[in-house]
Amino acid sequence: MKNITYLLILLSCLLCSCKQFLDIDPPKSSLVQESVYQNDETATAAILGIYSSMAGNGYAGGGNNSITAIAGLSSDELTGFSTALQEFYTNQVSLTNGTLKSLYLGTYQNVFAANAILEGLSAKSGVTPPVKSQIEGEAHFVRAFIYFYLTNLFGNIPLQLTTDYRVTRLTPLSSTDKVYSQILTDLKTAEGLLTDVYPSTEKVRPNLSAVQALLARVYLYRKDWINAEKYAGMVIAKSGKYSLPALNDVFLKNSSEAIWQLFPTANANTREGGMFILTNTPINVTLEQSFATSGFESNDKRPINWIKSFSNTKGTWYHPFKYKVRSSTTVSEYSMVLRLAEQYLIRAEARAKQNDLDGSIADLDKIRGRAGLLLIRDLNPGINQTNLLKAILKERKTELFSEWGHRWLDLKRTDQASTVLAPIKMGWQDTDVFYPLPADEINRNPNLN
Amino acid sequence: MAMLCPILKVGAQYATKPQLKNQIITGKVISASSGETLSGVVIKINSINQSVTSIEGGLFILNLPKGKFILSAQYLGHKTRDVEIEVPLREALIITLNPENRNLQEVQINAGYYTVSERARTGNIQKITAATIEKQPISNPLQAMQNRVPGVQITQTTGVPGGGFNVQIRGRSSVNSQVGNDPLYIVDGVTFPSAKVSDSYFGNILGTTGASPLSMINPNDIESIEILKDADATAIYGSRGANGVILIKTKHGQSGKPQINASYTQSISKVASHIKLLNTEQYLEMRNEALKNDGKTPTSLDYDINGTWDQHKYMDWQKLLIGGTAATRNAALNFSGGSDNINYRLGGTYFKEGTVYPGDFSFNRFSLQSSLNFGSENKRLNVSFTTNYNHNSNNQIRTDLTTYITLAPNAPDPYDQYGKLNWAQNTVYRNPMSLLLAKNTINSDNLIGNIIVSYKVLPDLVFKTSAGYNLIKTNEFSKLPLAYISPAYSPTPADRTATFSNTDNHTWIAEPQLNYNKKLVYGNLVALIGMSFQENAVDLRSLQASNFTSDELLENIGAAGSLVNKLATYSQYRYIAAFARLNYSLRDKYYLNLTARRDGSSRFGSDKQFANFGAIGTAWIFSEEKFLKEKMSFLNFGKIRASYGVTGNDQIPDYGYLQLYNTSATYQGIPTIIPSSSNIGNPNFAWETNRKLEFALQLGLFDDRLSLEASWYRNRSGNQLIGDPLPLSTGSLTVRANRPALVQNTGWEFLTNVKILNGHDWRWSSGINLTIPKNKLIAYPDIEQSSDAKNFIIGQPISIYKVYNLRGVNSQTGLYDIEDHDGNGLLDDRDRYLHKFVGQYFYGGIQNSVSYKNFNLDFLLGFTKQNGYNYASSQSTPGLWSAIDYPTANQSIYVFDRWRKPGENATIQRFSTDDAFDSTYENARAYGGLNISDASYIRLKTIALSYSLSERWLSKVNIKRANLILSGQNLFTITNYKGLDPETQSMNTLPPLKTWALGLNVTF
Repeated sequence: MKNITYLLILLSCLLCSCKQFLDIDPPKSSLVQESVYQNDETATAAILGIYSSMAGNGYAGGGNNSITAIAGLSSDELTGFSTALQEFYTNQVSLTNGTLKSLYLGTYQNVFAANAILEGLSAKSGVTPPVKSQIEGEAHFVRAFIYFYLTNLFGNIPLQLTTDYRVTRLTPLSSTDKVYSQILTDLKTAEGLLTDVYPSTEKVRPNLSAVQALLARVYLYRKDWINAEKYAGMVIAKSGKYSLPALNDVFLKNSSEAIWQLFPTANANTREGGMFILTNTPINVTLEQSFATSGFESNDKRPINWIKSFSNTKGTWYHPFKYKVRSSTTVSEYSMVLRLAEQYLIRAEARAKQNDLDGSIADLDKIRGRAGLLLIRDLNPGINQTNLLKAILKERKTELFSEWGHRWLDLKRTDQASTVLAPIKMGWQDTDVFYPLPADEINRNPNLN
Repeated sequence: MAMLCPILKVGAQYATKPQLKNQIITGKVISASSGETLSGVVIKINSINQSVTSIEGGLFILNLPKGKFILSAQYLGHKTRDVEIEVPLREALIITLNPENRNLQEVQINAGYYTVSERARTGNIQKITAATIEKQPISNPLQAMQNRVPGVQITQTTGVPGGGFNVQIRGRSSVNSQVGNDPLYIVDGVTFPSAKVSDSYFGNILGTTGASPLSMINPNDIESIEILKDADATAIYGSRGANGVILIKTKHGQSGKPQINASYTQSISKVASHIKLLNTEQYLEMRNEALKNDGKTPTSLDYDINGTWDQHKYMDWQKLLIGGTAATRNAALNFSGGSDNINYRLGGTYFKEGTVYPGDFSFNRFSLQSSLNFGSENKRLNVSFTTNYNHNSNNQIRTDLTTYITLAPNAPDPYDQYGKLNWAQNTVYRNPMSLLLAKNTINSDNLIGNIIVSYKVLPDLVFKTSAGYNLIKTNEFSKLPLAYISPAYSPTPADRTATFSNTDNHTWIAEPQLNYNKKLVYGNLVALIGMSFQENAVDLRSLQASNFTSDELLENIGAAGSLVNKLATYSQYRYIAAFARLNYSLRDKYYLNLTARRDGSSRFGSDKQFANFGAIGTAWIFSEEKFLKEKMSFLNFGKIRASYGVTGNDQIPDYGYLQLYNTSATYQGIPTIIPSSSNIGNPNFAWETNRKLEFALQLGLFDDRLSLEASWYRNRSGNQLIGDPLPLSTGSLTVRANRPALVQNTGWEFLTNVKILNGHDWRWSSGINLTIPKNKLIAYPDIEQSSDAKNFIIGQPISIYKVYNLRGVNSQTGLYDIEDHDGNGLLDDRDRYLHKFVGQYFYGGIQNSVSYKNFNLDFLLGFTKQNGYNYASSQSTPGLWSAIDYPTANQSIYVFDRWRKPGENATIQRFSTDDAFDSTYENARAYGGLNISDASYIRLKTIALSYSLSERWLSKVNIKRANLILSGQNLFTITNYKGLDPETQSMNTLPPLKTWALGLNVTF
């Protein structure tokens, strides 16, 4: 018996030391969180994974599940033809809407990926310092970019800053102010980490200018006119880098106007082109007819260059034609996320708000000039602040239509949503400015219901 | 033939010292049961280390000095007998040997890490021996267990050779369908994979479970299969024991004269069941009535009824596609023998099974088996070495043709007058015979090697270590030639595809153990401690090649215009454990068995890798008590046993605890990765635990003429690994976590055996086994929040199917009337408030064995009372047909009880081709329970008539034994099932086959 007791003790000791026996090789078909941030290549692949996913058929992809489509429908620029999108058009989005759920989940999946990158890089990481700063900067920027849209579409949202599901499953709602303050923190961090050199060829990964451009927009939305003017100015000042090309060249890949573009799915052009350009009776979205036919001033070249009609026996429809390629394996267009024209319009608005009307008119005329319109400087140099702001808002509508829901966000931030939409949308309610949080968010988080 | 010569055989190393006045003694060994002489009996005299073997006529010769000796006679299948003799002999020395195991209670049961006698076992272990397996014309060892073992539900998922089986011991215990509930298979001490080992393509034709790994093992090489069910038997397997353990032991050599055994079986098979489908007249009636109901006329695309196809032609697709006869050949040659210290068995088998499909397809298995046992002279060291090598080559079509038995009965002939595939002017989009060109070949090699070394350190203490290795390599090739695609699709060379897959599955295991056995004053103490180290690695690679210039080049990967990496996975699994057993028996009446195991598994995060499992088992042989022995003499054996313990289930995917990054679409041509959101990393999940309780009664009456075992069990599986629903903002829908959901399996198991006749000429024994299982979901926190809300109801079995309230066919509209329970105008998951049970109410088998002189008849009737999926589970609205999307639209005759005009009552709604009506039918069919009905059946699983040729006659031609066996499998089925086959329950998979076989078995 004694022997057995000794053996038992020996065996149990063996067992303790044999914990190492259970250390197994990582799966070769996928990577483990820890190993991703041990070298530059896989860490870079992780940040590229976010862009690749954004370019997919989701919130940022420009297709029929994207912010471009649904926010366009919620405002007064697009009309929907699919039943899935109808709730967005009538501003009666239900908690169980499938498109809403996938859009919401898609954004937070990318937030998760960005958080994972930030956690991975802050732990002991084998990534070389310059690449580390670059990726860290991009992750902060992407997180800010997503939260900007989340809070503008949904209002108060859970602010998720970690990947630990035990924490994130209980996160309470954060107010818009709190979300914005996080956005600014992220963008300021990114500003310190990124440079004006794009990390890869082309402009498909954000650089310092992209951070500044988003900062300008955020300050504009926060009514911080001084900073909005300052940051838009920083981007505009880089005239060697960014300029306003002819209308039909704006959305080409690497156009001189682009600050940040998304590289489309391999061997394809943009989803915007695929969705908008009609070759048959529409099934997704078209432009609101009234906007397409009477929303522009008479000399405006944009309806000629950026809008097209399609007719068959069943009718005539108008569709955005900013992207000219519906489908081709020769890739000539990338999906535009941030471009210079918006910066001019931001600075015009910020200057007008600060009563720098001449400066504002100069910026606005940059956009009008390219569109072939008469300049305010010549047409109405004595325009007052109110009318100038109206003109800017109109210009934003005609310049930025069918891009990233600019119109929907503009109507809301200028408190004009109800005034503009109530007459044309049946059953409009003031609360419709925000989409509801999906049922699977509210019901599953005890701190939300 | 030297071994046949009557030479005195002396234990090689023990030549006796020449002594003076030795006497030559001759003796004879005979069998006590038959009176026949026995050759090959080993007769040992321990005192002088001498041993001889009896030769023909049972004779043996000893050379002994004067004095007293104890002869020990040992013979396979017989009890060892010690005889005292005194030299010189006064009378003829005749030793009679009694056949072993005449007493049921002395049968030795293999419990994996130890063996235990039937009498002393405290757990629930059932045994199936080679004698049972050999009589059945089967290709997979799992078939041998069907309907024979209570508590074990084995369902064949397809009749295709090498196809899958579902095996469940005492019911399903996991609510998450991703968590496996397969038993643990151990072949010669080495774990054998239960999951499919091939690529998913084979899953198409080999059933949902894919190729069954056990089909690689030749059933005739198996000596015994032991099934471990309760906590007492399975707790020593710890985390892997929750779903029961199946131990397979291959044949070993026996000491004795070398013998050669040859066997050959030839069998033919056809599908065991058919379904009555509409003939041309009925089919056209259905289609025309459907169009009339819809107010439509046939379109130019309605080839079946618009006159394009012959309106009078009838093709029985069932007969053409699956009505063939499959021929099977099985040949085996074995060589075995040995002396006192060494024995061996070498064997080879060739097996070829054809298919019932047209064309030349077959499953081939070639296997070699060897086993060697060596014992040292002093009996302290014992080494046993087993290797099995199996080569399987399964050559099949990619798609099960059974899917196409429902083609329109007037569809054109598959071949035209020139013998070419007939696409009938492009009106045929799917010609089933074209599928014969889409071949799938799987070659697999399986090597199982195991070595066991045991050494008696002290008289009571044995050190033993076993080490094993199992390798399964599969190589799969599947092709889609251009000729296979209808010209109506205008195929291009890009459509020619071929898939090349390779899988390597390695397992090694090492298990050192110490065994201690001590006789105490009042009882016996057995202690066992040991450790287990195991590793399994699976590497799977699959390439898809396309764009070939010719169908002939499909097998040449180099000729492919494009290559895509279809799948590449690698996973590793390691496992470590310490186990112990302590068994104490008191006066051979009271037994206590304690087992424990501490397990570590790499499938869990570092804090959750280890867990403890254990069980307590007790038995009381009350028939040994004096008061019973005297008063109830008819009771020769009575035992009550009980066990309780905890086992675990770790059948979850590897690496589940890690946050993994999967490759995602390239960005700017650069590969990218993204965190897996479907599997958010959770380092905190652990085993599912299964608490098992069992009570059982075992009786032997009238000298075991009647034996009975009744068991009641209750298994409660908690700590369920299920998807814990997460709010979307976590970036994932669920996280895999242990939840306090609880699934309970309870049941009664009965096993009886009666020896009705036990005479010299006539023998008849009959056995019945019965299982009454009951499954119940006891708890599931927050079920409403989870996606499982539409699958389960607390308090009901987990195999229920939630359905709408289907209120029959509305006699006015002719459509199914489905209740909108919540009245929201929509039929959605919340309206499925009723449920139907899918599963077994009870099942079992009735077994009979009758012998008269040299004839023996065995048969097994299997019965199952159950609800299952019927014909409607795969067929759409009766009346619908589409050349492209739904050419397989023929229906079973059951649909003829349909509504035709207002006021009519019917069970089937109006025939229609309309989508709106179709959705009503779909709702009724898929969610209204129309697809679920009684699937009970009685099936003659096995019948075998064997004849043993007279040994007297055989001995003249130097043959020891010869048997002729005529056997059948699945010969008839009695059922009211509405569908193709109540076992497979599918219209798309080949039913099990019925087989007739003739075999000859000769031993030289």
